[in-house]
Amino acid sequence: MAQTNDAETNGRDPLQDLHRGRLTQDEAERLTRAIESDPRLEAEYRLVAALGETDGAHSAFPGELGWARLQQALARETPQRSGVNVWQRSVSVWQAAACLLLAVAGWQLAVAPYLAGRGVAPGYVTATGETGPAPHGPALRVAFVPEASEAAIRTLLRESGATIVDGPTAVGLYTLAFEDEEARKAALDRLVGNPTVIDFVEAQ
Amino acid sequence: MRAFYEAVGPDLHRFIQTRLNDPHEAADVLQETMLEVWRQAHAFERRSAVRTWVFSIARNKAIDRVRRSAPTGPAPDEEIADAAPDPEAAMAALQDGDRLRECIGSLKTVHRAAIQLAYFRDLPYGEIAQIENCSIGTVKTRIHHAKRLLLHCLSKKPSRRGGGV
Repeated sequence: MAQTNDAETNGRDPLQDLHRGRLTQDEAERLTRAIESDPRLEAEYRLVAALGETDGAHSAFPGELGWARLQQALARETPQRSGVNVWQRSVSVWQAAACLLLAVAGWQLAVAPYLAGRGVAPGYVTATGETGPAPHGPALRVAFVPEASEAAIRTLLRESGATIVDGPTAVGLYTLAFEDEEARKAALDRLVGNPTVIDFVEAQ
Repeated sequence: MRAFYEAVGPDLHRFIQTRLNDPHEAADVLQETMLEVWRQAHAFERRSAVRTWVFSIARNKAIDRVRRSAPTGPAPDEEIADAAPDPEAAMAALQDGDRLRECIGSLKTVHRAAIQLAYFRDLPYGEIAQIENCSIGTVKTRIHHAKRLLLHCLSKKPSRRGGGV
């Protein structure tokens, strides 16, 4: 990559700088005059302003389910599997992770209370961070095939009328809740019949 | 790690979705990215911002995914329209947020990614260049073309909406 100076490296679209109030008064006045006298530049400026106020696409961030899958995958990455906290994998990784968290301002503020609140002891925590009471009503416990994709899991759960209400446990079990007993029975066959997504099913 | 996931995950997922156009594929790539961050954290030398490093990993993972699912090769580049867009029609269309999203969705991946990083994430050219593994000049060119394509798209009549009087 060619050598660049700081101004270029830190530079942005001047129209965006104008919209976000980052220009000096002189620069802003000069650019505003140019915009007012050129319809094409005005259209470009309005586009930039509109882009700054939209997110471009509706994101379906996987949230809790994504975290549960990630936690399960992280647990598999850990060489000392049984009874060892995933965060105690090794000092160097923990330190590096800490550097990451420190580098992202404010995030560590969320970590400290989180860890303190759970008294980080050896062992795993569930994705929800709580063991929680057993769900009322019909439920099943399942383990997903590690290689199953997010899309496949979501589709199967949707088709089965299941909602994840707890998990994963230390051994990777999720608790699924159903509307009624009939739905649970129907789902049981469907889940068992999907070995590419479901590792095993345990009736509660 | 959970705090990291929750802090960076939504933006990262949106960025990946920009490249893949599929929220579920994006979720899988998000997971791969977070795992890679976990595995490589010890090797991170802080020569770039954490954000840049993480987004670069996501970009590479998304590209790998596209290559695996489209072994016949990438789609041909869009042509940059020669005719100047109609500024008044474009400005009128900007009132409709869905229309703007539709036009953003019609962009080539590299243009869409440049727009997202530059305007939604408000990143400077240098950081976008690091994430996209290209020169600052290329970033500027992509942004220039993307804006021009968007204005063209906005100047045109909506493709699927009613209207037709």
